Amino acid sequence: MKVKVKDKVYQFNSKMRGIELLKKLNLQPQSNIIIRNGQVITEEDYLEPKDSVEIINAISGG
Amino acid sequence: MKCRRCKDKGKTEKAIIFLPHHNLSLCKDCFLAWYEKRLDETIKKMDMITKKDKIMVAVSGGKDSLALWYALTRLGYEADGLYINLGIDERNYSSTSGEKAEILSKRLNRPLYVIEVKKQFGKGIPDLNKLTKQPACSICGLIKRYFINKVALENGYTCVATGHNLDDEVATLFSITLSWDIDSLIRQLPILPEKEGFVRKVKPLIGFTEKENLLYCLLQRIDYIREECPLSTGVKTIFYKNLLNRVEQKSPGTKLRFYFNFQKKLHPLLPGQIIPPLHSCSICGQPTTSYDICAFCRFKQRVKHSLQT
Repeated sequence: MKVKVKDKVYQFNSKMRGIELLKKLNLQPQSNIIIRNGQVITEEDYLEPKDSVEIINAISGG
Repeated sequence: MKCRRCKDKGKTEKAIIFLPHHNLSLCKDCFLAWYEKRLDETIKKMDMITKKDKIMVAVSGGKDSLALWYALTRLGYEADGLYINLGIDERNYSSTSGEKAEILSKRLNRPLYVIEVKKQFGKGIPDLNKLTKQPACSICGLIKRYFINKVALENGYTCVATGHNLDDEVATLFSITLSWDIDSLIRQLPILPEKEGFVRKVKPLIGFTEKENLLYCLLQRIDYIREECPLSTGVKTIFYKNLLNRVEQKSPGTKLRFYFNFQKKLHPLLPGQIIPPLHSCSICGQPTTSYDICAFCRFKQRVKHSLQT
């Protein structure tokens, strides 16, 4: 699956839960939203190799 | 994961978010309803604003302030926007964030006041930082505080609402607690009441995490600036927010407890804020604790002086 995080794109080829993907990318579930094929999903949902994924970070400097 | 609210109503809808600190999983519609209801309850419980208030929302173009403006309008509050263009040209930061504020202003059909720092000083924040050696965030805060109050008072607004969220407030509270800065702790309130020359300031989003505000924007299709302020790279606030989110992961609800128990249990024990007598600035007429000119006009003079030397 193609995973976009800010201006970087990562490639993963195995099925995994959103929470596992965040862990692999060293991202916190408290501050990130996972979008799978244009739809917001929970961290418990599965991501398939064919999915297009974007992770949006919520933290701002204030 | 199923939506808890739908389940309670005998329906089955897939959840799009799980909020561990509320032990709540919600679908899109239930999240939006929950967000707006919780916002209205916070406002009413804390006596922040009423439907009779004329509210000015200080918008940055970011997710929090735009979510606030949109949600307040949906709840029936009379809210207009104020955007301060800081003159940050790197990655078109200021022009892009200004565009986002304009887009929402048009969508809501509510006026947007715009102040341009470059028109006021001839330079944007990065150049003012180089010129005066004063930290960029400190200049930004000074300019924002000044114009937010001035524009609100001059245009008859009874209240200013800002997009400070739970993560902002918890990070600030954590930072000042680490140094036991009592004076700053005394000022950590969600409402700053109006006093002569100062409009009331409220923070209606204190009960929401940044993630909840972000999700509200995504679901309501509110176009916000995703880029971080180029001048905020490496600021301590982000470090504290990440640290506190790690604590939150181990112990959900810590941020809410830390903030609201401070307000409920510790703040009442602190001494009252000593407010020095206020005077009118001899240049701009705005209230100041100084006997002569206010901090903003002093800064303006400093810039003028630096440009001449």
